[in-house]
Amino acid sequence: MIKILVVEDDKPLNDLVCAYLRSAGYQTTACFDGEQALAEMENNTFSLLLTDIMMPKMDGFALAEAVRAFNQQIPILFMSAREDKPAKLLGYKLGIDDYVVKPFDLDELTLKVTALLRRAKINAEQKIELANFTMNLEERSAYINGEELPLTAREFNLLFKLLSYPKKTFTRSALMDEFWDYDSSATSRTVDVYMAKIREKTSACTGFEIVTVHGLGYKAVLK
Amino acid sequence: MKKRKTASLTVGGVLLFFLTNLVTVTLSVLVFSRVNANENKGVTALVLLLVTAFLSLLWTLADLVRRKIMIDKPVQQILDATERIAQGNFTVRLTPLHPYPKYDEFDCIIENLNVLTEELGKSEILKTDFIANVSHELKTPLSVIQNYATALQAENLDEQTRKQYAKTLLSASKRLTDLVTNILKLNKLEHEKLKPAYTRYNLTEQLAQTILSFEDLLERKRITLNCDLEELELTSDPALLEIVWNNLLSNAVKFTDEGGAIQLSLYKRKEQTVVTVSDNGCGIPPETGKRIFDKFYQGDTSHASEGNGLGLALVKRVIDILGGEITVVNELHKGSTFTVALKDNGYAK
Repeated sequence: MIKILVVEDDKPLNDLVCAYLRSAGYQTTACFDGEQALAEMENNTFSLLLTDIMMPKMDGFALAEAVRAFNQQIPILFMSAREDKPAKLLGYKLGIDDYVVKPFDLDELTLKVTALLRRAKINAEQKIELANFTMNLEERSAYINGEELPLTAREFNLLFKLLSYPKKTFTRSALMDEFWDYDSSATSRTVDVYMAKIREKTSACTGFEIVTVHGLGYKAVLK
Repeated sequence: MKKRKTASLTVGGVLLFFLTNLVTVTLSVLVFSRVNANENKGVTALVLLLVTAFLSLLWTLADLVRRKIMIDKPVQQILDATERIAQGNFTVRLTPLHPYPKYDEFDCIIENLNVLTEELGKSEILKTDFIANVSHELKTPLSVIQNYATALQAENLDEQTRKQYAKTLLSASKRLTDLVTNILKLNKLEHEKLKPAYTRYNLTEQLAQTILSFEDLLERKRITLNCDLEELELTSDPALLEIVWNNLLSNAVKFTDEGGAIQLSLYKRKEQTVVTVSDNGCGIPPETGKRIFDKFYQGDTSHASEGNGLGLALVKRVIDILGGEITVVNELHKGSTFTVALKDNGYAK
């Protein structure tokens, strides 16, 4: 069972979030301030930390900082009414993984939690498994139906990125910034060429599909 | 600065003192020659003293009358006016005492007071309107929430009604959230001495990211999206411009019917960077078109549940700050096209 620590000083909201996550199949523990949460984390292992920012005693920033001091892996998700850029930036600097702005949609929150846990699992196992397709980050190898699929380093990285964030659209220039050198002669059409090749090579995969989004970018859709 | 008389050497002033002295000296000499006949020096001195005292009194009175006319009257008028303004009456208007080319300092003060009260009056009207609008927009969803929450407490509700009530609660609270967010943003833009944070950035990418945030909605409404984006960089404030793209695109998605189309383009025209957002939705009638950038104006009250009428006011405000223009062309029932032309702030200090 996956355990999630929910830290939120507003009791009704805390109850509601816990109830919603439980109905989505997770196990939850509720805390009402940062100090309590830290104490709880010393005694138990959690898969994800969901925390508010403005709380008595120890706020979310201090909590995130304290947690990151002894645990680099656990995904941290902030939920806060603070929508301002400085708050978000400080959060990401402290090493949080994602941010939801209050008031939020509980379905959206659950989706974010699921996505974070998925990525944490990929990070921990260094592996993506989707139906008949497997990618192993350590070996930098991919298999379809147990047979090795030859991919260039860049094709591998592009595909691993898309599959790590399913349903998220990456624009051509975002992909270029990450996978091509700044001074390379690649244009946005180069990305198209690579995607066409990846599509062709993975056409036998039954677990996912690479979709072009309005001519702006690409995303992986899981089947 | 208006043209006005300042303290200076004038022919009139010299003439005034010349006449005063002329009368004083002439009178004194005349009286002296009369009384000098008798040998008593004491009497002569006494008479001259009386003459001097009489003339001093005369000039003092003359000056008093002059001041009454030229200073006390306008000062009293201005004092009365400022007192009424201080009490909150912004309808006060004063009439200058001289025709325009002959304005003195008082006329200038009067003129400035008139401008001041007019501006104060305007912002007072705006404030009253804003408060009236805000409280209406806030109270409507609040009362919906209260009433439906009460209705939900009833015990014998069937599943479908309960779900319907919950859905209404949800949409009302969502509307409230959007409104509060927009009011806070608008307030920040209007009352803070906002200095845009200019940086050079990839505008194409920003537009692509913004439209992609509407991906789900576009898919659900089966809207065709046509993008024609040149690869462009711009020096401007990305955080502020995001407000513009977000509002224009969310409006386009909102007002386009299911199965419709949205066209987004970005290109360079001379020195300007131009972004157009077109939809083939319901369009805006011309009489509404003029007012769509006003706060709380909504063309069609039937759309009231989907917005709060602050979006385009925010857009306009941002574009004014960054130095650009926004125009809207539309055809009723055929859709509307918003065109934003921005200047590059690369060389702005």
